[in-house]
Amino acid sequence: MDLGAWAQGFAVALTGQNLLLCFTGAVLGTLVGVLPGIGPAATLALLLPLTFALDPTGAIIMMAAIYYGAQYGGSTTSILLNVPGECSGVVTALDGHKMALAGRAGPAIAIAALASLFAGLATAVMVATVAAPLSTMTTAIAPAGLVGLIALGLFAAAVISPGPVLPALALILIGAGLGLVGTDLAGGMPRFTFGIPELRDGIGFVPLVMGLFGLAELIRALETGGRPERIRLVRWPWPTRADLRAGWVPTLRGTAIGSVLGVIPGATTLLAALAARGVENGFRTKDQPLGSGAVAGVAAPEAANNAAAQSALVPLLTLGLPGSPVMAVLAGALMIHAIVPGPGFIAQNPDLFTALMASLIVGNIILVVLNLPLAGVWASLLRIPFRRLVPMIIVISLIGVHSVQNSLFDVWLMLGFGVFGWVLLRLGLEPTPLVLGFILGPAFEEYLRRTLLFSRGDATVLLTDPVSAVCLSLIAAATVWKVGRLVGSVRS
Amino acid sequence: MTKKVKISIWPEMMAKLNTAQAMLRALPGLAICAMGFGISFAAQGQPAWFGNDVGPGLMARLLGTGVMGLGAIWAAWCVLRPAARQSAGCGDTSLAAANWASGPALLGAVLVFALCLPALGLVISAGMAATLAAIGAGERNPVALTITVVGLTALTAGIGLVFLPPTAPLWPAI
Repeated sequence: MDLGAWAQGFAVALTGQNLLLCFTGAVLGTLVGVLPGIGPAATLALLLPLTFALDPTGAIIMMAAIYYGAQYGGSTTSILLNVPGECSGVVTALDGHKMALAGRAGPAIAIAALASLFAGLATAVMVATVAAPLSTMTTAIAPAGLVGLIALGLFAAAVISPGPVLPALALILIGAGLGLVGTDLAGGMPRFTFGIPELRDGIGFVPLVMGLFGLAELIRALETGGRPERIRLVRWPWPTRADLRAGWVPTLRGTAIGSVLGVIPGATTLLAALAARGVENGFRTKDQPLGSGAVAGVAAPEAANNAAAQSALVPLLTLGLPGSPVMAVLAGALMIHAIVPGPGFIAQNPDLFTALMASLIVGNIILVVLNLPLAGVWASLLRIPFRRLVPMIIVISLIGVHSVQNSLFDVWLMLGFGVFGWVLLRLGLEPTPLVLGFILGPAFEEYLRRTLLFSRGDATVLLTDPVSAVCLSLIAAATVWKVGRLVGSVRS
Repeated sequence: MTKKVKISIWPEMMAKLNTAQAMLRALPGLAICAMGFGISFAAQGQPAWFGNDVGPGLMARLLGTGVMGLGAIWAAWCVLRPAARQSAGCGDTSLAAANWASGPALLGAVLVFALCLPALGLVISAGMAATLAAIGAGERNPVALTITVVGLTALTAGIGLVFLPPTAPLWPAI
């Protein structure tokens, strides 16, 4: 992106409507980051019907702001109360809460916000710089290569994401199977519709994610959640020069780690934060040892999780590979607006891309303004009992699901997926692979069809195409390594 | 004499118990295996190939076979490795904590909404769903429960009147 493109992007991102949507997204994101129980994926899922009324640019700006806003909000409660509202906050809490207990809650929050701001700005520039050339390169990839890339992306998501690999792979395939429901676009034949007319257009994305993420996440929060009774008072949060000196190098390292790991499908913000903390373990911190309230223990994971949250946009926008549940919902939101993320996305939607990049910068600045002076106010929101929020969320999501197509069938689908998601959670499994399979399954089939059409039914083209061959080799190598480890663990 | 009987029965009972536990651990994998079988069975009605071209059934058949295979391997893994019982995915029920009724209550709220909507309309159905959801969420104060339900019913009516199209079934069908 050159300067002209940036200027154009800012011109779109700073229009009254888009600025308001970015601000709303930042506030909502901070709110869900602060309140344990409903994560950014569930929030995005619940807000999907609302975005139908918006133009695609406004919708994606607001949804992205919710995502990275949750990373900011999660750190506040992690530091003040040792209650991470968002999963990656667990790592920040290790040192951040120790700082709060030592009476340094303000500086800890400030360090977290400044590290997140730096990581957010740096990663926005990185994504803007890398994504466009990468997207141009991906348009040159043959359908066989895209088959391999999608397979590798899904495999990586299953292997890296938390939880056992085998059921995750099975869930991806089941999700892909659900994605096949509806009229086959190539031949016009109905598939898996079982004579139900509502299924001819396929399974709706909104009831699927509302059930799997919205409903199931609420149940999980109620079954496992606990709330603190006392909220600490936060004075004006500003770090000392020593704090800033101790924090800036870990922030740089965290940003680098997060922006690299975020690109890998399946590598979550939690993984990035953990990796950043792990790397900091190898260095001598400037104030005190890690784990006893070190500034590096706050700066590095916060920078890493924010950087990972934003660099996860790279595989989505260039290859159409959503690596996390939030990215899956974002991809779904774009598809609802008839925009397909993947090769050619940036070339076909340059205005949307530049506006999104500019909004990342604007949103990060809004978030620092929201989070630094108002840290105490956000923490006090935890006083609202979760039991008062649950009925409101349920009613709003029911109205949302029903109003999308004025369809009662969608409510039944939401119930079905809610039950399925609940069963998965009771088994300790994540529903994310299913959603990734649902989104990428039809794309996989489309590219597979094209590949076999061009090769006249010869499947060996998947082994002779260089991109596909590399991807399939990586999958095979990872499978052998994983099976070897399992066999080794059984023997030992 | 009594001691002898105990000794002879105990290993047998333990073996039965172990078999039952192993079957229980294998259940999620077997359920996924059954899903794969279902996908494969449903895909039989679709042609996999039209000459050299791919038909609508090919992907479904591949998926069905894959799901069946993975489900079977997972079930076998859970049975053969008892330690895996502690890990996620093999019948781990550690999630069940204090508020075990929340799940059925919240799902029940959606069920009540879906059942009541055609006859009672959006507003009343939302109120009923809110009641069940609030109880499921642990609301025990009758005043707070009433305020929540009345407030959310009013909110639904407001959203319906302002934002939803006139065709939305807000009120009972008389």
